[in-house]
Amino acid sequence: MRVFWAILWKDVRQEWRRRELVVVMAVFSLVVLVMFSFALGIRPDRPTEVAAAVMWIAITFAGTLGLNRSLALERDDQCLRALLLSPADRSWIYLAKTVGNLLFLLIVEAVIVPLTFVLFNLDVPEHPGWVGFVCFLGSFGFVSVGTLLAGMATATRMRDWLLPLLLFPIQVPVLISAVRATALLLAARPLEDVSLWLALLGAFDLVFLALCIIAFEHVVEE
Amino acid sequence: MNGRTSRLWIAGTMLVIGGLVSSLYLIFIRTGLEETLGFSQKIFYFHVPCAWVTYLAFAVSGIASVAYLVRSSPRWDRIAHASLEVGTVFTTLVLVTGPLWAKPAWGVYWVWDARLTTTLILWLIEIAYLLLRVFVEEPGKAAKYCAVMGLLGVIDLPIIHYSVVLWRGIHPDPVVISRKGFGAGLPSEFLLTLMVSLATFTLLYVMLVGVRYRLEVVRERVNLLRQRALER
Amino acid sequence: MLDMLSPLLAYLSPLVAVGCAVGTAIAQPAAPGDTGAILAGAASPWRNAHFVLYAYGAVWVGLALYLWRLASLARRLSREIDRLETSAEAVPTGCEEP
Repeated sequence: MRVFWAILWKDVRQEWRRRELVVVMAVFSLVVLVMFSFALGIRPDRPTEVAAAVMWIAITFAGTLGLNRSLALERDDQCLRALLLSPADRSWIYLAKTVGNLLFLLIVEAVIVPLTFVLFNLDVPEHPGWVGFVCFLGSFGFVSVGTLLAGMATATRMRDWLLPLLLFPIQVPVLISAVRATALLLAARPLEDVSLWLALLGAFDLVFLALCIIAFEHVVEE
Repeated sequence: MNGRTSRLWIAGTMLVIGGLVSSLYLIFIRTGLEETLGFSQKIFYFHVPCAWVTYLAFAVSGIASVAYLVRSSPRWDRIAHASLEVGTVFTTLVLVTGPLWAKPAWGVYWVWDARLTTTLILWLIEIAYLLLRVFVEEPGKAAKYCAVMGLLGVIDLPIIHYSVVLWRGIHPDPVVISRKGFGAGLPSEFLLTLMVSLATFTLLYVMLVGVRYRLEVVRERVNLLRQRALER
Repeated sequence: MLDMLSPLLAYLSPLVAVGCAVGTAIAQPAAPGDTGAILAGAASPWRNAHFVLYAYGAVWVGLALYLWRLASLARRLSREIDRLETSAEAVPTGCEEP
């Protein structure tokens, strides 16, 4: 448990000093948002659907960037190797990396989500807390699997390119659920409609967190 | 390679060939035309077995991946790899024959319904697995990583299917014959032809996996010899 | 090892070629079908025959390509083994092969 906090604190402090990750992710997601806005134009018929889709694409791309960068930094620092040699429980290492990546992604989302509202001229939703909750669940699902797969991808020659190929097909339920839930919330639909998607997101998060914790042991065995 | 095994191989090969010939005979000569779709319905008899083999191969690969993670025996890794590679071939065939069947039947090449979409995502997962095999340098690590990918994929597939069903809504099969209600809406002569074709493709799958498995054994031996040569 | 692969490939490959030929021949609407097409116009059951040709052709071609890939892999591995074994024989090691 101590290992968890130690690694998390190390990553957060490192990021606080250098501010590489979050700034790059935020700027990249802004670029993606703006480009999609140009490409799509603002459709008067379904602005909430389009906005939800574009927002989650921006989050996905930023998340991928963040995962790659964070593991590249780890590789450069050689900290992970040292940690793995220690008798610490591997699961805590995985959880620490995951929570760290999640934190950075959530910070970036705090930028992306308001920007989406501005660029797409959306009304403030009735349940803003639920929008945040959807963002959290979606990001958690993304980051939990992504941290594991990024760990695998960095061991290959292809590195950064391989992660999206591995991650995106697995992430399809998260993407579908998150976009649908966000679109419904933005369109001020009743919460009963959204609850199904939230349940699916929650189920995915739980199942895959458990799977990834188990799998991480095998991935980092030397 | 003893005599009994090679006899088994030859028997298997002859059965596959016999099966393919019988299937073609049954499909084109014995079975009549279907009312609505006419001749283009014949694609069904190759498309459905390919789809069946796709899911069988992935299931086998998933189970073998889990077995490998638990036991670490290279045999399981070879089965997982062989089954997945052969499965990818059949998935590609499904994705090619599917739209060719769909265009005369439904008027469009592609619909985002649950089965087709899930098969497409499955194809992407299989390609990711194969890329991982190719690009991870150490064979031991490649085996572990691919086993993890296989595990994630096999657990994820029902979730993907369910999420697409929710997304698109459950719409009834636009065609008379439903693959889900196996044989439910099928006249008996169609069903017989389909069964023969199915059995043939399943046997073909088993033979191909066997060949691929043997090639993996040989490849491992080559790597071992190469390592010994370097050490000298 | 290759003695197991050869029968499979040897028997299946010509079958694949035959399959393509048969598929092509069968997918041509026969004369009655043509008359039917003229009489019935767009409602002829043979109207989408070319899709069947493409689909079956794709299956045969796909299987053939994969068999060819397996065969070339087998050839390459067999060459490697021969090369490594002859170079091993050339250098007496005194080590026992397990």
